[in-house]
Amino acid sequence: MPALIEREQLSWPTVVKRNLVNLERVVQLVLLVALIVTWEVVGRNVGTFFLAPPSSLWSAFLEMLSTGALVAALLDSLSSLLAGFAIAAVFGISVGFMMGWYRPVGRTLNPFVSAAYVIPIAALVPVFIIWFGLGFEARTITVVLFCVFEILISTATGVQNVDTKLTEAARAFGANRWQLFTRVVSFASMPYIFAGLRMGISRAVKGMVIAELLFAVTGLGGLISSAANYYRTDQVFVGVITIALLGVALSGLVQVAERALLPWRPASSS
Amino acid sequence: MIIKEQLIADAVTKISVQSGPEVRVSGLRKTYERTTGREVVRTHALVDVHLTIEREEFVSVIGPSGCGKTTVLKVIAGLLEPTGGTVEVAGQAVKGPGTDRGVVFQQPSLMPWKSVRDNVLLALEFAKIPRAERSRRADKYLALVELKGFEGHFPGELSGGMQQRVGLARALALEPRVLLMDEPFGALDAITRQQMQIELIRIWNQEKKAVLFVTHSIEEALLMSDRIVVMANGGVAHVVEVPLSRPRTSEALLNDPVARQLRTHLESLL
Repeated sequence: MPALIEREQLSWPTVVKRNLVNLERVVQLVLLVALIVTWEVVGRNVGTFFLAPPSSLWSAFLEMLSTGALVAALLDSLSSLLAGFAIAAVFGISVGFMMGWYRPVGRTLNPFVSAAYVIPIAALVPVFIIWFGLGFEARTITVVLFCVFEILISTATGVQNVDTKLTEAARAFGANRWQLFTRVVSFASMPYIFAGLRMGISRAVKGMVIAELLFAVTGLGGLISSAANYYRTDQVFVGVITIALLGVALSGLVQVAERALLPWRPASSS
Repeated sequence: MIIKEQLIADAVTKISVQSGPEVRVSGLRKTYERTTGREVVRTHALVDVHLTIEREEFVSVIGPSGCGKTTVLKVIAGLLEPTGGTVEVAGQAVKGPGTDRGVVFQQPSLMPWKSVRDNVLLALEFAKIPRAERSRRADKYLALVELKGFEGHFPGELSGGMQQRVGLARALALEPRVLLMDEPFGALDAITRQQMQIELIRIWNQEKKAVLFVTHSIEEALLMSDRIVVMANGGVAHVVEVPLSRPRTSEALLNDPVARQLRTHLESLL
């Protein structure tokens, strides 16, 4: 047994320092600066029309912010994105659990899932327009189809790969099938489910933008396509960067949720 | 009145004396069948195994890997269905896992998302022990394995030896008739292993139970057991009595002429 278990409360400045000032952060910053500098140099040489340099993006950003176009587009995008992701999460996790837990269900549905997974969703857009029109429903459905399979397949894989040592231990102490599922398998498959959700949220952002580009000129996708129509490459890049940052933020949120819900996962050692 | 009580006491003694061995394994067979194309391959893991464990008796099963040691244990635990033969615990035929048998696995097999105490409580919940009683037993047996102060830790924060102590506490908390231990110290380093052997003997002296202890170490078997069952090729090859006085220590066994003779004898059998 360890000689001593010590507990220490870190001060907030120390917490901030530990999390923000480390080698990974420094390298990230260096890479980011290198990227921006290269972009700036190339942009100035080829001209704003071809590649708007980062320095010109700031004024474009402020312009889009002051007209309210950017915030409106972001909120518009977020509504169908979050609705679609929520539906995909609920459907994907429940069907994934069913397919993983009841092996015959899994074997039966597997070819259908594989078939649906490889269909390029963008190819179905004309059909969606006929079925759902051009509004919120059509965009939400596109988001769902873009991310549901990652979540579903990860969940099913997670349930199938639950450590047999754990299920055997639970059985040895008398757990019935329901307890095995609710008290052991559902927890043990959490890391897989979160991996699916992380992949899913990124795919949901892609689905959202594609829907906005193809269906209706709304949201961030709409902002980009109308800017492109006016040859405003600076505004196009502001839109693209906003989407990228949205992806980073949402994926980070999923990871925060994962850490909060899975506190038993190995903590970093000092 | 006194006479009547005496009669009842006598009757009780008689019943317990007459009730026979705690565990009786007779004619146990286990065959695995696998079909590839037209070929059916049958692996006979157990062929006609007979075995008894008396009340308060510590029986070790040794043998080379693949000889069926763990299979016997899993059948007694009710985790594996035998192809033929019977297992009785206290005269009752074993139909599946039950709380009259406490299993300690080779790997600690603790739920990583549950604290030490919650792992014990969960097992007791599976075993359908009333809630108030669960809490009392968890405290009692965690204290017995000297894990007081670590109740709130997650398994991932404990050393292998400490995890195995939790596994032992979890099995003891069932207050089973028989303790089934499947190479419980096999995954531990030599020093921790020796500590755990001493601990187990101390606990066994306190809570005298029938124990089936699977190991591949002759030293360990000599140190702990009243009887050693030598298995080979899916059957019991020999049963060796260990007439050494207790308490035993590994140092004393090195110089004891009877122990040396037994060791040589066992080595020749393996």
